[in-house]
Amino acid sequence: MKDLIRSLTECWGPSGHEAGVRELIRGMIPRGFESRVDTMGNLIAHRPAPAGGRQAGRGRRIMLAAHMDEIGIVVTHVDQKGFLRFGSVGGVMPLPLTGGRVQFESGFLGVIGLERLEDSSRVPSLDRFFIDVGATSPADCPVKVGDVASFHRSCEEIGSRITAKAMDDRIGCAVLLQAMKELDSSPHDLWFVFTVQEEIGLRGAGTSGYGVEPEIALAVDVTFTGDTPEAAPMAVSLGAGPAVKIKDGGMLAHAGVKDWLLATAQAAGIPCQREVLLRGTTDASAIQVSRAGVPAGCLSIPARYVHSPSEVVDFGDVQGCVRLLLPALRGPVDIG
Amino acid sequence: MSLLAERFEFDFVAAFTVQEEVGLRGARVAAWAEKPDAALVLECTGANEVPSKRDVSPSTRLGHGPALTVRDPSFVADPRLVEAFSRAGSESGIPYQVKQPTIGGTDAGSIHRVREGVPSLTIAVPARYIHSPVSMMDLSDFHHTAALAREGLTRLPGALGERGAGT
Repeated sequence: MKDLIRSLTECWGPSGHEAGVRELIRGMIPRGFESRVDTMGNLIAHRPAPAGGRQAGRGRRIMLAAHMDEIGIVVTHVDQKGFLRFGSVGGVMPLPLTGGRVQFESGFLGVIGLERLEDSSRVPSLDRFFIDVGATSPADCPVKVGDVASFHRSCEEIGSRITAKAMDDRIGCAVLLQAMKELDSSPHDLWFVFTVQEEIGLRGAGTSGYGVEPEIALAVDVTFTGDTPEAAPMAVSLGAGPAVKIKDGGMLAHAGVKDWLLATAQAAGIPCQREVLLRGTTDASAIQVSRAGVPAGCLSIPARYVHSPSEVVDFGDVQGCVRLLLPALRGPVDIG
Repeated sequence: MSLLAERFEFDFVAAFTVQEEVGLRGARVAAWAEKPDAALVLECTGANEVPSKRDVSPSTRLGHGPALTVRDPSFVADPRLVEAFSRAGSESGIPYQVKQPTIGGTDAGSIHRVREGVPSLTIAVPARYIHSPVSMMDLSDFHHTAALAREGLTRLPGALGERGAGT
């Protein structure tokens, strides 16, 4: 599964430019699933319930979602000396930028620089940064206004942890792909959806939720932790197992969906955590309010340094997510 | 209005929307009702060519042709439509420019999210001093915008195939 995580996180795909990630995932979808791409670019893989499953009242129409896009930057201007000005695609934080590298779709690299600051004790805004792509004028600049780039960073193991760019949310994509591969039997009508444009407003989740029209929806995404030095208080730690979302900044998880996951974890003896996140949200919040509403929840992978070029997850937590999803989807689901 | 005189190979619905400035509200319900297969939003956008010491983007410039919005905070333009309209400009000799992609927001922001999604694109006439009591545009930009809309729409059938690699 580590090779899967590496290939997914090192793939290029800022929000709105997910085609490369989509093709990579599409090539790894196991037999038994039919896949299609919808209007917005979401990849939807479907495996119908076995004959008689739904008629017997045991199977449900379940949608699982992980987003393919990653945060990045978009070029706003090429100046007379060939330097680029840029804005954010999704929630880019200025602090870790200087000296970082970005990569454009064509493969070109750029180095992020920073203007001289009057007050270096304050975090500068994005408009004080620029990108050096080795050009000397607009004429020899290999990129143009509107081009987007992702962070350029390799995936590496550090102890039992893995660090990469775009762990948010390729790790969720990896969990879904692994679960699809290992899920031998299920009474449910299953829809695995790899969404687009999550980082810029949950846009793919809203339209695919409308299209799939699920009875139950579950997002698989990263969440923050409170276990680093002087961190904001949060009762989620790296290495303590997958986190079942209670609430976040945009959603109260459906109580029945939350209990379904917690009961499954307990029955299977999988350590897991209860997540209360005060900011941020996931695809589940957009699916929850699609059409006439969908009971929705989220299975979270704890992650440190989210939205930096080096996000960190614990491999045991990742495996725990897969181990939890399998029994959750193998049996009947009663969400009350 | 000039597009209404044209005859295209597809059903053409012109929506003159309400309440864009207060939250793209009219466009959302219009798109819900009409269920379009694609949407083109015609707009006016800022050209902030005010004198500045900093070598940064003016967003758009007067006299450089219609501004294509490849993305803005409200939406990402469908790459197939960007390609079709860019090609229409190049092949017809109509100048166009790409708007600075981190500011603004148009009716496309709500239309593209309606139902299962609508491939959308915005093209705009650049203007100075927008959202002030006076706006100033270049007449050639206005005529080129109408021409680009017409040429792009003519190329629309066939532009929206199955999404494959690269789109």
